[in-house]
Amino acid sequence: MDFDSDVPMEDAVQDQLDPSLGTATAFVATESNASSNITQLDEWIDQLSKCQPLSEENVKRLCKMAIEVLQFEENVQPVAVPVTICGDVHGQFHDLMELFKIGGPCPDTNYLFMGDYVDRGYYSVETVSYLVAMKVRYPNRITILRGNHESRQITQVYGFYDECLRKYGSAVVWKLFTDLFDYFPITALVDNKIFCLHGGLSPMIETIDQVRDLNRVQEVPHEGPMCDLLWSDPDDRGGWGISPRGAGFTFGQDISEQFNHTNDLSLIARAHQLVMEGYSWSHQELVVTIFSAPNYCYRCGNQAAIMEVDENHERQFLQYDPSVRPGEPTVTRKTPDYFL
Amino acid sequence: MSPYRYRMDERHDKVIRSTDFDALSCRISAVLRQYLLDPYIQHIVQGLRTNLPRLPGHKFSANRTVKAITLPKLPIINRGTYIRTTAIDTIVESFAKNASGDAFQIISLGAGSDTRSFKILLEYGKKVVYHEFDFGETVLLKAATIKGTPELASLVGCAPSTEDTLPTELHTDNYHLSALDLRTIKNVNFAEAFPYIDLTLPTLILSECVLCYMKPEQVDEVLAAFLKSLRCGAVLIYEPMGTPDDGFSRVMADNLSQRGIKLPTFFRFPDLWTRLAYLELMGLHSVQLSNMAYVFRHWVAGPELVRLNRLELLDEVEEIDLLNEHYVLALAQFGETSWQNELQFQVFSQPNTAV
Repeated sequence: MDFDSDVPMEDAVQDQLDPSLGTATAFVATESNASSNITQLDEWIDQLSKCQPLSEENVKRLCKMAIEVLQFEENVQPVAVPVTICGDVHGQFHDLMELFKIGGPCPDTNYLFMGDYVDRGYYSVETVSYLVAMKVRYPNRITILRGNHESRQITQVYGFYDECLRKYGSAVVWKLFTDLFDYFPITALVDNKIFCLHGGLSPMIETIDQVRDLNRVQEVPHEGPMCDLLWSDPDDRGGWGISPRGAGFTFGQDISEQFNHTNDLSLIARAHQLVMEGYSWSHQELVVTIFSAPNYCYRCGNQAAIMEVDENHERQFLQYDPSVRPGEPTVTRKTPDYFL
Repeated sequence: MSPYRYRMDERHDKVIRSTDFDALSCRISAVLRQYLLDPYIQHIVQGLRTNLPRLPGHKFSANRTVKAITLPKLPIINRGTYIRTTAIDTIVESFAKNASGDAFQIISLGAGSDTRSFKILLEYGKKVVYHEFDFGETVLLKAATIKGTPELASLVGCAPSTEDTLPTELHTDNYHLSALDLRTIKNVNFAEAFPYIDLTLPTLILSECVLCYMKPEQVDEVLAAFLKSLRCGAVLIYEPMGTPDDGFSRVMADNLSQRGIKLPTFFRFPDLWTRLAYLELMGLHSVQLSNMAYVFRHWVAGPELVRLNRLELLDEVEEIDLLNEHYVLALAQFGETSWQNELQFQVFSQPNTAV
């Protein structure tokens, strides 16, 4: 049972005509299983799109299905154009729905998410469940990379663990998801030209082939190349620098130039950093940061953005503000902390 | 004033009093995470456990309140609390050092459950007179905690005791804890109302998120009252600072107003320069100001920075700068002072503007 992840993406019309074709077929043995799985997935997606979490039992089934898909993806997952590239979402479920409104519904639009689905926002469970369900349902239409928050350690500090306890009464769902995160691909390569990852470069990685050689199926380590790919940031200073985050490095324009030249890339697309306009260029447009959580943490007042890349590699940024949810009792939401 | 308006004001007062619990909660978390060293905070928490249920209207909620206060905070908040506390400590130390052995005075406005007084009293003993002012309810709690805790009682210089009724104020030779609604200060005759304030001593006035909750004219009145009564000293202000056309400020004002917290001067002085001009207008000189992001970058270095960076993984690097940029630390002197501190600030008065 192998999954050819390198096939060109079929267009969405075909998906709709024949749901068993090129979608959720990778992990099932028979046609009837496939269609019952698709029915099941569609039900889950429908439920999740109303921001209603799945039962623990269904999360277990979903994660099992997802491992069957994700384990066959590559460390550098190939992705075709056109694709819409997105940054951090951080449990802001309603803003994720807004993202799909702005960018067009999946699977009609192909999506590449660069990690950080959980923590900080109040709906990490619904957000990650939804994206994983979409991934299993449309494996060729959506790519979900691992961010530094898709980790056992970080989620215990920044909210996903607590949210799972609150919503399920135990850490079982947290365990299921964090075990699943180990299988997420860590980078993607769009049409061999745009290298996509959550954080940034690593002093131990000069070529994309070196990323392919890593053993990614593990907890995000505290140091080393896999850690750096998920934690590093571009910086105005040249060369490698110590990261203020305590993990990964900062890398200068010289590093980006060398990496893009060596690997024949036009662009490094990454997420990881809050940018007030939702996207931000660095290193003379060799690196772009994309951040897709508007008003991050319900505190930052930032815009969000996604980047569309078309068949001709033309890029377009779409910016958006927090979704307006009429009738939602905002006052019951806990106000983020300030110094008072 | 309509009765409705009165109830609104009363509610707002209650919300503002509750901000002391926010600040305490932040310090507890920062101490637990080893950002700060504070041997006294455990007594404050214990005192709350004992005394909060004794306050009218808190009997049933006290447990819940104390539990909420002791919940851990995110690294961004721990770090911001660290820099807020240590920056003010640094200024207090510098002011004390400048007194070079002579007596000096500290007046902490809205001191709440702050523990700085204990630290300073331990370090400077009879050289310092430390005054703390706050709302009556807050003073009741703190006075009861101090009297009920032998270590704190001994530090401030009173006999430990537990009484049936909560003490309304606490006065010893070197420590004064008094109830005062600062908004009424313009009607107060200083010498009569506060005979224990030595108007001749060099005095550092601390306003840590206090004036920001008051109306502009009330801020003027508070500053004017102290400046006209005291001979010389300095005012330290730490508080939020907003810019109308910036998303973070707007969200901050919205979020806080959802909690019922109004910040009447938040947008009034949107940057360091307008704040400098205001403080000079109030008659202060040698004004020094920074936002807290600058303070963190310039005041924390070397082994201490290394130590901090090892305490917790910090995934909020951009966010903490953003948050700290919206807090101002201002230091301004009044009267004839000789305090030339060497603290690094972003914006400061031209030298020799002293009167």
